[in-house]
Amino acid sequence: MLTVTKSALVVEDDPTIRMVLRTNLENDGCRVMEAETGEAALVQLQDEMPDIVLVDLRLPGIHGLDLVRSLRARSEVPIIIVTANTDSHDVVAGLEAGADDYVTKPFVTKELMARIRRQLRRPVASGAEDALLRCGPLELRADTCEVFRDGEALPVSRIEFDVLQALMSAQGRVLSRDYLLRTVWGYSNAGDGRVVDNLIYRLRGKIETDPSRPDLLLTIRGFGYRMKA
Amino acid sequence: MRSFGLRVRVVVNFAILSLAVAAAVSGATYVIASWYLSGERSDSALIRASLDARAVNSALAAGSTPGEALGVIPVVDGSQPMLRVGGTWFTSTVAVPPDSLPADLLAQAEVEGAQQRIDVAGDPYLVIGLPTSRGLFVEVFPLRTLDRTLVIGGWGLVIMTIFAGALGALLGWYSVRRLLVPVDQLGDGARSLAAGDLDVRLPAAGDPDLDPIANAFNDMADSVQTRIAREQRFAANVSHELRSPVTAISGVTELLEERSTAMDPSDASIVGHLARQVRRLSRMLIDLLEVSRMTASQSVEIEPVDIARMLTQILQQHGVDLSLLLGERPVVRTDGRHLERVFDNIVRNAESHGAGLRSVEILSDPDTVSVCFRDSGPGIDEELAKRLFEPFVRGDKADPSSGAGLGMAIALEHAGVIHATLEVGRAAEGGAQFVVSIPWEIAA
Repeated sequence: MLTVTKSALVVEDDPTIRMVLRTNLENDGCRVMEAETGEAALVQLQDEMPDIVLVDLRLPGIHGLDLVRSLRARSEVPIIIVTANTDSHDVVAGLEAGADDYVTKPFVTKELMARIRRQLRRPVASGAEDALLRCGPLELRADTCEVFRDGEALPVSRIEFDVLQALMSAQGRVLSRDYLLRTVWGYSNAGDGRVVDNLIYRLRGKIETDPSRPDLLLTIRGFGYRMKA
Repeated sequence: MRSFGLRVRVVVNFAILSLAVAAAVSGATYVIASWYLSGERSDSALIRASLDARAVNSALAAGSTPGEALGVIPVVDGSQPMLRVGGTWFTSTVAVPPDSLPADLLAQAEVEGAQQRIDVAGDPYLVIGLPTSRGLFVEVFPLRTLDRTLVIGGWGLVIMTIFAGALGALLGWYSVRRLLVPVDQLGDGARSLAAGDLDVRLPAAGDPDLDPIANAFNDMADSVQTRIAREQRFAANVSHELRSPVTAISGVTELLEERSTAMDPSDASIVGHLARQVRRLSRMLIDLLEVSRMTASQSVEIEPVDIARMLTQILQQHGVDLSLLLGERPVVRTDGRHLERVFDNIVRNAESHGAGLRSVEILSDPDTVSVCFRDSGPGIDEELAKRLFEPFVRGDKADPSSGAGLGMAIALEHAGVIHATLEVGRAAEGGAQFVVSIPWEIAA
């Protein structure tokens, strides 16, 4: 149960699946908005930005991918794509468009709810020594969920913040993609490493001076990622 | 010859033909050579005999005794001169005694001179008799050397003939091999195709006689490939289209199940049945999709994988309380996602069909790390073991609600992607034993 009422937008054309998701989210204490199409979702998003968005990729009208892209352009809201396509390129396209995680149909509701909770959860209260993490020009404040580069606040999403926090806490040690999937995304099984790769790519766009030649967040080929010590 | 292969028939025909040609040539050579050599020999013998007869005659005319007259003649190549004066034979050697000379030869020689081939004590001789004014002159020439030459020559020809036959066979074998290269290629191609390599095609040799065969094969391979691709696409599309309805049904069922605590027991039991069947349907669909996806993409991302840690996590997820048997903690460089699917499916199989896992052991050797799963079930008989990795194959005793029979097929597919092997057998304590052997590093 979430202590503060959160809002979720469910974009799904199948009324039964929409009903199932709404019921489950409401059981979890969420306020649920529904949209049958991408167009309807965009109209609703003008009035109110929810705390999380669930998007089915195959929608009538504008494609789910386009919705994710335009949503990501104006907000750091967590986006989970729900897709019937497990073909690699659809998943990759969804992640590249800016989704934070994905589930494939048929999914087990419990698992989806666990993923949603992970994206919505409040920052964990941390001890004084962990409250402030530094790495080069970067500064991460755990209490306020803020990231600064040279004193300037960077807009990061929940999951981006979590990944950065995990990497900065590791103080230069390498974290495998599998480890990040389990600890940050809350996967119970080995998941898809591309979820991590894609988020790291987005994160670099925000924290690096030249994202194509990263200097703070380094890839260790075949192992995972680490922050510059 | 119909029962022999084309290869044998061609080789035999080539051998017979060259043997016949060589035999004819050798035979002719032998006849001509022997005729020529014998003629030569008798001509030179006749000249010698005439000269010798004249020398003996003049010696006798000069008053020598017949013995002295014969002494005038030089003995060359074992030739033996003889002289009959009155009824008495004079001769210097006795290799051919005078009484072994044929009487009719002597009679004819007295009149006009004569020659004849005779055999004395197994050796051939040429006898030339010439009349002289004082008696009959006879000279005997041994023919043994000539005969031996002809015999040796003859044997030489026989050997050459056999050699020619062998050469013919060799030539036949070589040309049949050349001829059969495209046929062999066709056979290899068909075998690879049957083994599942649908990309196999035959190269066009640029030969107008052979290219149609290669083209026909390639057309066949194309159509097989298209058909298989179409069927795979169909299976993938069917399962794909089932996703949304199955998701909806299972979502609704889960909601119903949550509320079943408030229902009366008989309704709750109905919901329970529904939920179990929906979960099974959902599981099957996920497996089916995984199988159809496996054939489409098999990307590999290599990272270090701590096998013991992965196994512990998987056992935990399945609620199996078992500690691993291991020496050290091997870390292999492989694709963890594929390996996890292998382990997961084996554990799932052991839990649902093998009456639970009995032990999980990790063994390392220089090339591979093997993980040995043993269960406490009835074991797997040989008949089932052979087909266990095929999709939709399940044991007779398998609980029909336990799955679609895709688990082991999925495990094998994933194992193949990371070059691991998967074997099934019988554990020493009874029960089934699955051994996964993972290479320390995937060769590029």
